[in-house]
Amino acid sequence: MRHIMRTINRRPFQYWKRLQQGGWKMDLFMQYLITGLTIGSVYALLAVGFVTIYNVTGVLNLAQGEFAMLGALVSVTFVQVGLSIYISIPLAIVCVALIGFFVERLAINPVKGAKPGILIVITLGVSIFLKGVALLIWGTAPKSLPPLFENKPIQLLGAVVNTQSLWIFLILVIHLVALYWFFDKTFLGSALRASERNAHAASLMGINVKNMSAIAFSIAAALGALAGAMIAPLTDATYDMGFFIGIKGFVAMVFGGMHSIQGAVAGGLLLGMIEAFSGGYVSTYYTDAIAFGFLLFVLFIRPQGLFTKADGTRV
Amino acid sequence: MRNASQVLYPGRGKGLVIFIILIALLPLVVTTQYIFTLLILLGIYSIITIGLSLLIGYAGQISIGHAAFYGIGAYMSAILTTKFEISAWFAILLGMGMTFLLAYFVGVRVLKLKGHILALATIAINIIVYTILNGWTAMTGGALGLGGIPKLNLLGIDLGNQLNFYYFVWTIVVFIIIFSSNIIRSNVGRILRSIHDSETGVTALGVQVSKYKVLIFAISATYASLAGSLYAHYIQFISPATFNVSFSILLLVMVMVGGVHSIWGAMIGTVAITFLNEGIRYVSHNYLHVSGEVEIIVYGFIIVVMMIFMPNGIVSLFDRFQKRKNEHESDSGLDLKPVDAKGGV
Amino acid sequence: MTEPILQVEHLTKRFGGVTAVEDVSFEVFPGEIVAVIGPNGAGKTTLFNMITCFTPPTEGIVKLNGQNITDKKIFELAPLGMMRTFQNLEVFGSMTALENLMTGISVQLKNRVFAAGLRLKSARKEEQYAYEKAMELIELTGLQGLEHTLVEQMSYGQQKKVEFAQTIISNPQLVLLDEPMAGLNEVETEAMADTILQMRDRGMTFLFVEHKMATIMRIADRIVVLDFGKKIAEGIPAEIQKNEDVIRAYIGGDLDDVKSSEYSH
Repeated sequence: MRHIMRTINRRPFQYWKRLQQGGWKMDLFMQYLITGLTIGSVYALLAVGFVTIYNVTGVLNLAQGEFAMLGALVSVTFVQVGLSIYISIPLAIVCVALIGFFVERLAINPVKGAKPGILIVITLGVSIFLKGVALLIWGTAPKSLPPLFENKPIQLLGAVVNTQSLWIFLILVIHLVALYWFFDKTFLGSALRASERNAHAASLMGINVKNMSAIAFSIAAALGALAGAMIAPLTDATYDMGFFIGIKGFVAMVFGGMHSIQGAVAGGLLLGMIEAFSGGYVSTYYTDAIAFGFLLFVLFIRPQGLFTKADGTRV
Repeated sequence: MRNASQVLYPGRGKGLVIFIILIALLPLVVTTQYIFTLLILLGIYSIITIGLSLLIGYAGQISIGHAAFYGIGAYMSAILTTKFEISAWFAILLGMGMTFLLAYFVGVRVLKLKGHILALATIAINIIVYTILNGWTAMTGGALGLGGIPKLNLLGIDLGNQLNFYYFVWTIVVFIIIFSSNIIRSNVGRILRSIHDSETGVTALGVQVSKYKVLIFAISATYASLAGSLYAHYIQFISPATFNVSFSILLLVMVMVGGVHSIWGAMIGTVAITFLNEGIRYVSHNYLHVSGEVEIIVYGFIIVVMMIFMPNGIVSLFDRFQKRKNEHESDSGLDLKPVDAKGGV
Repeated sequence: MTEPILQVEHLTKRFGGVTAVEDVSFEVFPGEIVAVIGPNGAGKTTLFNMITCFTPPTEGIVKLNGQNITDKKIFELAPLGMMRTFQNLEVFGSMTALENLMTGISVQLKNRVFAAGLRLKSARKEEQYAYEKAMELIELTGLQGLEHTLVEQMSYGQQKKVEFAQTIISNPQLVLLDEPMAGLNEVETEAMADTILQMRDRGMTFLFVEHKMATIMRIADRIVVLDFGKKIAEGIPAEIQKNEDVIRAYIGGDLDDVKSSEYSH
């Protein structure tokens, strides 16, 4: 039994140390800031996935982190068979989106409207299952993905920055703009938002709410996979990296107030920053405790999230 | 006027007697040391899952953080006995008391949250406690753990002896079952159950619902602390890895798979998941020659399938059987009162 | 002159731009049965929710036995002797009638968790007391034979009885009933009215919202009439029946209400 407990957990996120490699003469503050934004962007991508699924289906997908793990490992495999990394990553994202689709169809759809407890356990089961599959395919050895671009440290505002960090940040921004466009300007996006606001009304309008749920899962899986592929060059990808990354995405979502994509992005960046600064100025040992302590603090004083307008309604 | 408890909730005694006989006789059948160790661990885990069943099934509050309280109990026992040479029994009680207070004060804030957010908050508690266990090296020994925890001795009976310890742990389990089912059968239990139907209704009746949720949270945490102490004295060595979120997840899965609305369900789930894990591992290693931890595929798969097709857990099978039996008997003219599945423990 | 048990002073509730209840004041005296009537949407339920602390009023205060209760929490009212029922039944479906009634008496019990766990004498005594009291109420409300039936398996009328019994079991001074007769047939309505009268004779005070005019006229000592959130009349039934404002409000307001009140004659 112990082995199962062990597999679910490992501390995956100490790699920002690695991000700082090459930072011999640097302005520490800038260094932490950029590190925080980089990790934060990854959390933000996951958090956006969480928000999408949660608001369309009411399910909090604790297997979200596994999509990131799969995104990273599938990319690695495609690279290993000789594909270019620029093809491998999009291909991996498509594969993982498909997995997300099947997860929804096979595990979530049959229990529509179940209590949170049951949904939590089902997504945990999916999480464990996917991890097992990854273990079977890729084994326990850490895999690494080549950097997207030549990885030379550059000087930026006094800090020495890994170019990979900047690319992650850039890609995040591009995707957020794309998501904004998707939800605001396309029919599918509007349909998703409609089913999130009022499923019944949406179904009366001829929107197939059931399909929306599967689409939401696919989108979230794709975002997770993208996040995974982004961090794979920075940290080694392993089959058990998923759960903790997923939880971090969840935290980012809560910071942002559960319902807004902008909030989730801000929450992700904030969490990344908290980790980088507490790791830098306090101790890398207590990074998690500080991040989660801050989460509890937020939940106690502003359970509606940090980046939402307070509304006066009493529940 | 008839006695209230007989009218309301008849027939707990029979199940309990069968259970006690089973526990008493098992050591005669079990010969493998390995299985015997598992049985002791099952007893320790059951203490936690019974508490979780009170919390999740009755108070309706989810927790993915009970490994933290398990850890606090274990470390209190370990530190107090090895570093301060305090009596083991006193250390256990001190650990339980401290956990109760801690869980109570944390619970007052945390249990204002609901559903998924509450789950996340309990994960956060678990991670914070875990990090402290790891980081506070001077006290806890950090990742290397703490060893040399003494075996227990009860009035001259050596509980270091496997058989003695087995009976000791399961006696505690029986007491926990009785204590918990007494709560469920009291007015407190009715209040907890009524929350599921209408929180508004029970609040309007003048009940401060949150008070009971917090109390049950603290009690379930205290159970976990007791289990942690027992674990520490049994294994004699503890390290933070045992008290990670993953163990909380395992506990949650046990309770949900067994059936969260019943104490027996929690126990059935504990047994089922433990043997499932061990069984899958045994088969995959010895017959399929798969190494590593690949068996978690099967494990994850079974959890998902169970929750889809049996959302009320394994124990719902027994309920169904019981219902059919009752219907049958009332057909034959016996005047039997309908047994409420939730009231009967 | 006795002190009023309930004082409603200038209660006002605005939701955004809409005023649901505007400057409503009235008093209820011990031993009275007071009805609040008015066309649909007149603000009766909002008024009830403000009195029972479910909704905070925009302006105005509520006093119970002279004590300001406006800012109390919902669960603090029962210990002060005020209980309420709900328009859409807040009973505990997965529990038996007996268990529902025993839960109703919670406010009189200490409900000590550890005493219950150890089954101390105090806990056993409480249990027995709750049981006996519940059996008494079962008899009183005519639920005999249904003690062990799950409430969700009962008819609507029976569920209404359970809710009523569960509300009065702890012997509150003042009971607020939100449409106690809605959905009941004629026999059940009369039985409910009789029980209310019977409990009044035992010293309880009632404030209730209802649409069935015949029953209101029969059991109410006084009637408060709301229309568009304002109190337009207050008086004994005979006065209210003749009051032109009231007649206008009903006919100008919602014809269905008049019809349904005719049917229930």
